[in-house]
Parts: sequence; C-alpha cells; structure tokens
Amino acid sequence: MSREQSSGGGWFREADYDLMLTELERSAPTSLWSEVRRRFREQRAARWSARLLMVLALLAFFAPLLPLPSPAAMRLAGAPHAPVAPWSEFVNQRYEPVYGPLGALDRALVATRQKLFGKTQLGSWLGTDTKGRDTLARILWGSRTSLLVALCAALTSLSLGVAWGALAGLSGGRVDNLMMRALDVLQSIPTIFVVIFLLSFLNAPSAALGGARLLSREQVFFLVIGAVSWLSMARVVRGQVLALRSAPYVEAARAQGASLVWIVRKHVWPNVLPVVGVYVTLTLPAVILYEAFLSFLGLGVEAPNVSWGVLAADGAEALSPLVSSWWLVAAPSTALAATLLALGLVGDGLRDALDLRRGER
Amino acid sequence: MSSILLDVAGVRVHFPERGGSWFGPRRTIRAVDGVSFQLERGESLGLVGESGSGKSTTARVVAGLQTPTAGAVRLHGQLFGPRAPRSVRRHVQMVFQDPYASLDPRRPIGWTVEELLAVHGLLKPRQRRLRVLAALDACGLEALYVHRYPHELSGGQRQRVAIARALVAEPELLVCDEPTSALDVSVRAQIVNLLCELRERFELALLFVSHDLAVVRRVCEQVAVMYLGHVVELAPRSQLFDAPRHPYTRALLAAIPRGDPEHPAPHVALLGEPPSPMHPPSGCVFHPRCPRAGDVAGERCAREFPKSVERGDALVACHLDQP
Repeated sequence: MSREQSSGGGWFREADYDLMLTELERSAPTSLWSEVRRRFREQRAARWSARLLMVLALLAFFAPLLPLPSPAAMRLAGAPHAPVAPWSEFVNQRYEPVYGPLGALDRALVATRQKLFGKTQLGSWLGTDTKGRDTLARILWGSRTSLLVALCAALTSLSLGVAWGALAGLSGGRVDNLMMRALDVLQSIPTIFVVIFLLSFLNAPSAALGGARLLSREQVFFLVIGAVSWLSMARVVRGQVLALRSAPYVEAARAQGASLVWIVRKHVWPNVLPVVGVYVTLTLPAVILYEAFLSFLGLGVEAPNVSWGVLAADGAEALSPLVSSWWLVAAPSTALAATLLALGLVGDGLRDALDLRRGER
Repeated sequence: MSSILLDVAGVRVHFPERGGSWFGPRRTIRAVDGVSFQLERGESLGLVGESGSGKSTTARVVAGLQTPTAGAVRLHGQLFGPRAPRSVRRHVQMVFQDPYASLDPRRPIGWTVEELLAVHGLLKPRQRRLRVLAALDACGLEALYVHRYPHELSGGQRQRVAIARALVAEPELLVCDEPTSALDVSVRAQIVNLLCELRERFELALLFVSHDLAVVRRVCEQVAVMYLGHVVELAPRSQLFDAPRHPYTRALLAAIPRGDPEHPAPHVALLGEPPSPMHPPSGCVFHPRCPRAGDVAGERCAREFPKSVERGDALVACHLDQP
C-alpha cells in the first residue's frame, strides 16, 4: 500500500493552523480534576462536612497527644460513684497515665504528651461516666476505632472490591458468572452469625491451638468488617465496567484499533473512578454504623478499648430515672450522627461535582 | 492497480440466542445471511432496509467490530477484521448513530479527535494537534472546541466531532451507521451536506447505513436493499429509485411519504411484520409478505432461494426477475 508509510497523505494543510495552535495552547484548558475540585468547593454543605471530617480524623489520630485525661483512668473514691456532670471543672492536675495496650506510635505520642503537659489535664468537659472515666477522652479514643473500621472497609472495598468487580466485568461470560455467584453466596450468609461464630470460636483458647489465640478479638472484628464491606462495591464496579464495555465511545475506540489495555486505561478507568469514589462515601457510614451496632451488642471491641457503640451502650445502661446522666448517651450519639451526616453530605457533593452535566452555569 | 477497495464476499453473522434456555440447543439469530458487495475507491454505497434487516451488523463487520461467522471482508485484497493489524484497520473508520453516546464524556473534544493518532503512534505531538485542528476545521468546527467537553456541544456539533475523529488519520473508507437518525431534522441536512463535501474533497469511499431513503438518495451512488439478512437488490441510485425491480424495493419506495396529494404514491401493501431472524422463512425470505409471490409458478418462492442475477446495472434476487 502506497499510503502506508505516510500518515500525512496531504489531506490537511496542517501548516495553516500553526498560529492557531500556539494561540490555543496559551489559553490552557482547565483540567477535568481541577474543574471537579472547583465544583466540589462550591457546595457549602459538602465543603464544611469535608472540613469537619478532616478535623475529626486529626483529633482521632492525635488524641494521645492532647492534654486529656486517660480514657481508662477511673476515679472510684466513694463507690458507687455518681457521674460528674459536664463543665464542672476547666483544668486540673490529676493526670494519671492509664492506657490499654498501645502501639509504638501511640506510646511515643503519649510520652510526648507527658513531656509537654505533665500532670495538667482538661477537667471533664463532657462529664464522666459512672466509673469516673472522662467522656470526651473516651469519645476521641473511640473515634479511632470507628475511623479505623472505616479505613479498613474503604481499603478492602477499594482493593478487593474494585479488582473483583473489574475482573468480572472485563472477562465477562463464564468467568463473570462464576465470580458473581461467589459474591451471591458470600452475601447470602448473615454476617451477624459469622461474627458471633468467629468471635466465640476464636475467643475460646482451644486445646488444639495450644491455648494460643491466632488472632486477637479486635483483629477478627476488623477482618469480618473488611470481608463484608467489599461485596457491594464489587457489584457496582462490575455493573459499571459491563456498561462501559459496550458503551458506544468504547466501541468507537475499538473501531479505531485501540487495544484492551488502552481502552481500560483511557476510557473505562476514568469513568469507573467517580462511581467508586461516590460509592465509598456511601459504604463508610454503613460500616461505621455497623461497628457501632456490633459493639453496642457487645460483639465488637472490648474494654479497655472503646468505640462509639460501646460508649452508647454504656451510656444507655447508666440511664436511670433517678440520675439523669444524659451526656453519656448524647455525646457519643452526637459524634456518630455528625460523622455519618458529614460523610453523607460529602458523598452527595462528590456525586454532584463529578456529574459534569449537572448544574450547568 | 485494481480499483476494488472493499470486497465483501458471502458474509454471514449468526448470533447465539441471548439468554434462552440453559439446557437444550441454543437457537441462532441469522442477522446477516450471505451478503456480498464491492466498493471501489471513492464510491459510496447505501445500505437500506427495515430495522432488523442486518444493515447495522453488516456495517459493523465492515468496520472490523464484528467477526463474520462465514465469508470474508477484504480491503485491497487483504483480509480485514477485528484481528487485522492496526496499520490496516486505520484505513476504515466508523461514525456511529448516537453522537451523545459515542464521545467519552470525560475527555475534551481535542483529546477524542487525537485519540486515534495517539493509539497508532502517528505523527509527533505537535503535528497531531495541528492535524486535529485541521480535521475539526474540515468538519466545520472552530479551533476553540478542542478544549470543550461533549456535554457542552449540540447534537450536530457532536456528530461533526465524530466525523472529524474518523477522518483524522485519513481513512479510505468511512462506515456511517445511521449518522443522521439521532439528529434534529434541521441539523440532518447539514451533516449530510458535510459528508458529501468531505467525500468529494478526500475521495472517500462511503458505506452509508440508513433507513432514510431521502438521505441515501442524496449521498450514495449505489444502493443495496437489505431484507432479513439478505441483499435483495443492489443497483445504481437512479435505477433503484426510478425503476425498482424487486417487490420489496418497490414497497419501500412506496412507503416514502409524498408531498404531493394530487399524485399519491401507488399503494403497495406489505402484509404483517418482518419474520423473526431466528426462524427465517424457507425459500425466498420475503415470500410470506410478497404481494407477487403468487405470480411465480409451482410455488418456487417458498421452496427455493432466488439467486442474485444481473439485470442491467442492477443485481436482483427475485424469481420474478430471472432471465
């Protein structure tokens, strides 16, 4: 073929457009992502929710560094101790380091805190519980559990869920069928039974295992949460990939001779990504709530560790018509509700920002 | 050098029935059942027919999106299909029906038009961008559109982008699958004129699929009429529109609404719906609906498939029209 070599068969006179191109390149276009970021920032609710979540995440991470009472330090002067009401004291000098098992990073943070603030600690701004433990400290330490669960769920759904769904959607046919049926089976198992079974199984130091626990209770808990959270993400991604595979613009790319790798990289991936992002923000509240629910039932984290679910459960127990320690229920529930609401609003904002057709100005 | 650009020889496309029963044999859908035609350089052929006649599937086979079950497509004598080397596939490009769906919503126009060049690694980056501008200009779009996204464009503009994308690597054959049917009537004429103009300017061969006979008459020199996976008549434009030979062609032409109430079109009644391509009729596929099937002696229409024979410049597959 004579035209094979020359891609410039002389149809077009490119030279005529040289000036125009220089002009165009000067007015660099806004990239898609900066446009999405701008559209996200324009939404007030989503913007403030994102900030709130960021502050919360920072507080959770640096909780050991803050001049708070230790979350496990009790004050059992004259038992039964009546809970201290909020705002009774601003600061005091009664700090005692009482912590559960800590990781290396947390140990370092606690050591820094002791160097920085010494015996100084905030008084119980949000009151204490019946055992004299500080509510604010426990809420901040509890948020670490909730956010860790959320992180764990996000990571499994982003890695396993996306990979599983993408693979099923791309391979199609029999493989797709098998992978989806496997998901059906996993999803049909009632998770609560799995959790109870696993926890009781792993909690009993069995003779066969030489009395040693393979995994700690917390690790099992995280594993289970991770194991259930990726299932629907896989479904969503698979559906999206399947739809994209036959989308006319992907067909068009195929007709142009684009390889599968090209199509996945340039068309499928960028179009799946927004859906994944939005779906993660939908998964997180559900998972945080699930953790709180399991902990409320006594199936989640155990003392001395805390989580919002544990706190709410303790608070509900302390409620009585005689002593109304409302803050023990109100404080953790408010924290939970605010986080869930903020996540929901961020998800909404993200969806609107990513949908280019929406809100044309 | 032989002037035959595209040679479609006995192409059949049979799909397995979707879903169906898990057990037992799957039935097949005979979407295209033996289609042959040739296209010379710079020539344009229109494929017309009802929905389900297999015209779009034929277009997809020619564009290399669908592997035929049987038969072959050759470009310059070289076998062509989804597995043909990229350097060959480049010479056939396609324009799709729906300009809303055929452009990636997350890519600016310039990227979309440039994609083909990038996929094939043609030209240097700056040359590519110049080429994009030139192609857009040829399709009547200003340079500033390169930074726009598809959702900012109108239907007609998007279809212009789709055409520019197809032209950017200078193909020899453009396959258009109903390029105007998703557009407003007012825009349709512009796109048709653009295609005619580009064809002349670049000596482009065109395979034009449409059910709009008026558009086909305007664009195409040759017209093939398809029915249930078969080409029943293939003739030059003037002959097909002025002196149709196959009863189905006549029925199609009679169905065009006329703007002249004084001289209404001769009424050729077509009975019923086109049969399912899963159970094509025996013999001539058109015979159950053919107003003249009774005219052939010995019920040949129901028993025997009519061969395509040359009648003048036309190829007709009908028992009534055998030499």
